Amino acid sequence: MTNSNGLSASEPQKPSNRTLILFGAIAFIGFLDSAYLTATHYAGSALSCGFFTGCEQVTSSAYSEVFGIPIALFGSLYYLFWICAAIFYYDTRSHLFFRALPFAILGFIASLGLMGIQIFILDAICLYCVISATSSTLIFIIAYAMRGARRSLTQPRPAL
Amino acid sequence: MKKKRVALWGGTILILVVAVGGAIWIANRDGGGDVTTIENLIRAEDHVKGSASAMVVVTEYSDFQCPACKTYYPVIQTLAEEYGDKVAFVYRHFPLPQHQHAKRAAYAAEAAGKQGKFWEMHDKIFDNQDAWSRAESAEGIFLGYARELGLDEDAFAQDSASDETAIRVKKDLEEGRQARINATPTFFINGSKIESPRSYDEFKRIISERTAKTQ
Repeated sequence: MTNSNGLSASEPQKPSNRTLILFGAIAFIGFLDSAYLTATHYAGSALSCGFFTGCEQVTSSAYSEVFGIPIALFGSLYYLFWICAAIFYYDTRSHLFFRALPFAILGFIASLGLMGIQIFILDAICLYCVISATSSTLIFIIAYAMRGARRSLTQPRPAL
Repeated sequence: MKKKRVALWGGTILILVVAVGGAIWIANRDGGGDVTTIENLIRAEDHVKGSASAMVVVTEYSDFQCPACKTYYPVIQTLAEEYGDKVAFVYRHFPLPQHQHAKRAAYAAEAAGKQGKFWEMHDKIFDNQDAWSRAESAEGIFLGYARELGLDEDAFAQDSASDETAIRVKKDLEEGRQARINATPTFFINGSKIESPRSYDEFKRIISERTAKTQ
C-alpha cells in the first residue's frame, strides 16, 4: 500500500540528516550545560553567572535537589538519552526512535515547572537553567515536528 | 559497515567523555572547595558596631532564626563592648530557606535601621527568638517590637514590605553565597573566613592575635 507521495504507508518519513544533527546538537548543548551544573554541585565551586545574578540562589536552593540528587544530574541523563537516541536512529533507522519522541514532553514540563519556581518562588533566574529550559523546549518542538511529519505521511490522504 | 558503526559510537562516547571531563575541569578551575575570603570589608550600607575605620573587621553572616546565631549574639555583644573602637563588628544577613521567618526578621531589622535603630531591633529579635520563631506569622510581633522601640509604625510596616529592603537583604545573601557560605553564623576576620570559635575566650584570642598583627 502506498500513499500519494509514493511512500509505503508503513514506512515513516525519515527525518533529514540536518534535522537529526540539529536535534542531537541541541541535546548536546543541554548535556554540556547540565554536566557543568552537576560538576559544580559536587565540586562545591562557584558558578560563573555573567549577566544573571541568581545562579547561586537557584542552584543552592532546596528546589535544586530531589532526594539529595541534584536536578542537574537528572537533566544530564535526560539529554544523554536524546543524544544516544539520535545516534541510534542515525545508525539503525529503527522506528523505536519515534516511539521515544513523546517522552520529550517530560523534559518540557519539567523545564516549565523549574522556570516557574525560579520566577514565582525564588525570584531569581539562573542562566544555566534558562539554557537548559531552551534546549528541552527545542527538543520537544523538534520531536513533535518529526513525529507529526511521520504521521502525516503514514496516513493515506483522501482523494480529491 | 561494522567499521562505520564502531566509528560512530566510538566517536560519540569519546566526545561525551571529553565533554564531561571538560565540565569537571571548568567546575574545579572556577574555585573548587571553599572560598574563604570576602572582598568588601565594610560597605556603606553595612551595620557596624565599633569604629568603621578600625584595623580589625569582624564580619558575621547571620540568620535571626538560627539558634547558633543566637548563641553567638551575646558573645559578639561582649566583644564589641570590650574592644570599643579597636574592632569593627559587621552584621550581614544570611536568612536560610528552612527558617520560615528569617527573611521577615531581616526585613524588620532593616526597616528599624531606616529609623536608626537597627541594633536595637537586632537585639530584640534575638532576645525573643523563641517567641516569634514558633508563631504562625511573625509580622505582627515585629511590629510590636517597633512600637516598643518607639519607631514610626506606619513607616516601619512600609519599609518592612518594600522591594528596597528585600533587595538590601538579598544583596547580603548573594555575597554570602559567592563566598560559599553554607551555614550560619559564619565569621570573617579582615575578609578571611575563620572556623566559628567554640567559646568567648577562643574568639577573643583570635581577635587579639589579629589586633596585634595590625599594630
